[in-house]
Amino acid sequence: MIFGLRLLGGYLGDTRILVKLGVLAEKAGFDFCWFAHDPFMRSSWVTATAIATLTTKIKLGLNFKPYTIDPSEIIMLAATLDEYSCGRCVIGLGTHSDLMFKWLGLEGRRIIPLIRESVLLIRQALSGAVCDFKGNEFKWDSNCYLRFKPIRNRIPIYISGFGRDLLELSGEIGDGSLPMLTPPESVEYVLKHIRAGIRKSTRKTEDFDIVGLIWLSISKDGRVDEDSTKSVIAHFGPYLDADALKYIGLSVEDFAPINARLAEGDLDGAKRLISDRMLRLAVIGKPDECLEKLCELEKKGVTHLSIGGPLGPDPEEAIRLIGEKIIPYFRER
Amino acid sequence: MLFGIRFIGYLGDAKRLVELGILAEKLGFDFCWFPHDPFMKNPWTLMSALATCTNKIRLGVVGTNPYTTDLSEIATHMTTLQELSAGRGVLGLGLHTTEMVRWLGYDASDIEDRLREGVEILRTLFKGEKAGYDGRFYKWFNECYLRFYTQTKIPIYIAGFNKSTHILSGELGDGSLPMITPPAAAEYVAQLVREGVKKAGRSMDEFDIAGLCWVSISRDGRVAEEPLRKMIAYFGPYLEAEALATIGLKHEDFQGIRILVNKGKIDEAAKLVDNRMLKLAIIGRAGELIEVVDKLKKTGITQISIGGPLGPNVEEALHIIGEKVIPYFKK
Repeated sequence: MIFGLRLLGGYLGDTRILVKLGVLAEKAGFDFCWFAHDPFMRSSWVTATAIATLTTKIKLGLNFKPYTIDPSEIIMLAATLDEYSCGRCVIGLGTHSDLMFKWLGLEGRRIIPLIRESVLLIRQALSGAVCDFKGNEFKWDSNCYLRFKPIRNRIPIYISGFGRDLLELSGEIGDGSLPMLTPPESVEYVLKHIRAGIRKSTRKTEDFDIVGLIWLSISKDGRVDEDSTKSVIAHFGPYLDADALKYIGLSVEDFAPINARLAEGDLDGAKRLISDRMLRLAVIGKPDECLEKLCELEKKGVTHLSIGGPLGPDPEEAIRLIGEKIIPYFRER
Repeated sequence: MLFGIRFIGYLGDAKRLVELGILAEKLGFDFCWFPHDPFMKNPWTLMSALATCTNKIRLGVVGTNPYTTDLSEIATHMTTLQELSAGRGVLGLGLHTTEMVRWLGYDASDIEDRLREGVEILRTLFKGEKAGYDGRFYKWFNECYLRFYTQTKIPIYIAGFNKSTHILSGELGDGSLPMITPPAAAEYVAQLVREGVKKAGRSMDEFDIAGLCWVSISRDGRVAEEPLRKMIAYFGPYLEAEALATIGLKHEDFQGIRILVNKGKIDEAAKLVDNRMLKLAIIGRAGELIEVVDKLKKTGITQISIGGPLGPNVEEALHIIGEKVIPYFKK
């Protein structure tokens, strides 16, 4: 099992705190540091670069939403960070919801061709080729090629998706997939569609990295940071995949009153509406309780865990606990 | 006079550019700028890296355009950088040519109106307010507001490339980023920027005209001829006609160069750069640079953003500027 820490840009603290947590993750033995990158939250590109400066081993998963950034910028950002971090950059491309992009009037863009064509252009440019390309979403001329030699001519691209079609696409064209496992019980549904996508490609399932994105709150004594956990669920719950929610008896409609409170700017009111059932979207508890759930995910076929959400009542302690109790369990077997 | 250094990707890999930025801070530069050109090294990465290694120098991007990056991304990037750097970020929004974004399929003929809407939205976001907007280019809902906030102001400088965009930069920006290649064009651009500032009813005392020049400087007057010729070959064809005219050049003079560059034959194109074209840059020793900066100051330029090859030895060039040129003006 590969371990990634995923830093949410809105809840764990300011950018300097996020950087501190990323540095701590390397010390605790995490393999990857991933970053959420949601509209109007902190920019993962800044935080990833700052962490690159202060670390030497941990891989850095940049996160891009194809609605709001042109592939030419993704190519430059990834190649520059890869150079700066001595080959530690990984590209995460896609989205877990298109609803937030309605805020920006961008929902009319078609996500599947956007991702497909972006992946093609990114791979082509990094390989050193001229990207004279006439697609449905992008029309580039023969001036489009990277003006410096990247240190790697293939930076892994992981696709994040929601819903059957995007999950399948992630298996078909990604080097890895970044599905939300919120709730963790939705793992079989998610894997089924990713594997269907892998079968469409020429790769084998065993060569493919399936990164399950979970929300976690861990502490030595099982204390839960209910406030932060409820904040995360209130903010992101309304955007979760309807087919995944069903696994714990929830529906998108259950989140409508929460969303209405949020639209009024009433986060406290929204948090009060979070039910115990909704708390099951996250993995919560002492190390051994969390371990049990993570082992189940491994058994189902998840190869990499991206641990995000509130992390715990004390995020630094949570990272250390994962490094001391969880990661060694998987490594020492 | 403020002094900025501007590092183009040709100067080395990302780590080297960051090291040069650290040196620039030590030598007393006020600003470190990174150009944002398609398919070159990404300035946002370099600014973020430099923010973690410095504590005084201001960190600016030149020419982030509103086509390849949505305003929401520009706003979150700048505000996150602001948090990381304790308030040292500067946004240079706009273009120095529409041609390069046309490679990517963006027409860009609407750049002026797009900048008007963009600056209004960014200022609203930077104030921590809701940025619902019903404009020609942006139709945003009230959910559009930053979920985190920094109290320090993020200055917006505008990069222009012709008469109307220079005027617009004065009208909209906290500063302007005109190319002064050649330096002889400074008077022409500064006058237009001032016209814009006046149009907006503001005072020049609060406005920074940061002129972007190309420099090659050394102790013995040696010139970084090869990189300078390559740079002129690559960027020369996109320079403004009115600016070129101030040293007797015109776009047609770059036609042969442009054809070769478009074919990826930059070395051959560099051979066609003639001595007149070398006048686009400031070349020589400390004395020559001081003389030009003095003239620029008289035209109303308030910051010189020193870019280009810098010199045959880049570190030496930075030391010359930091030890001879900056002290001359700061005294």
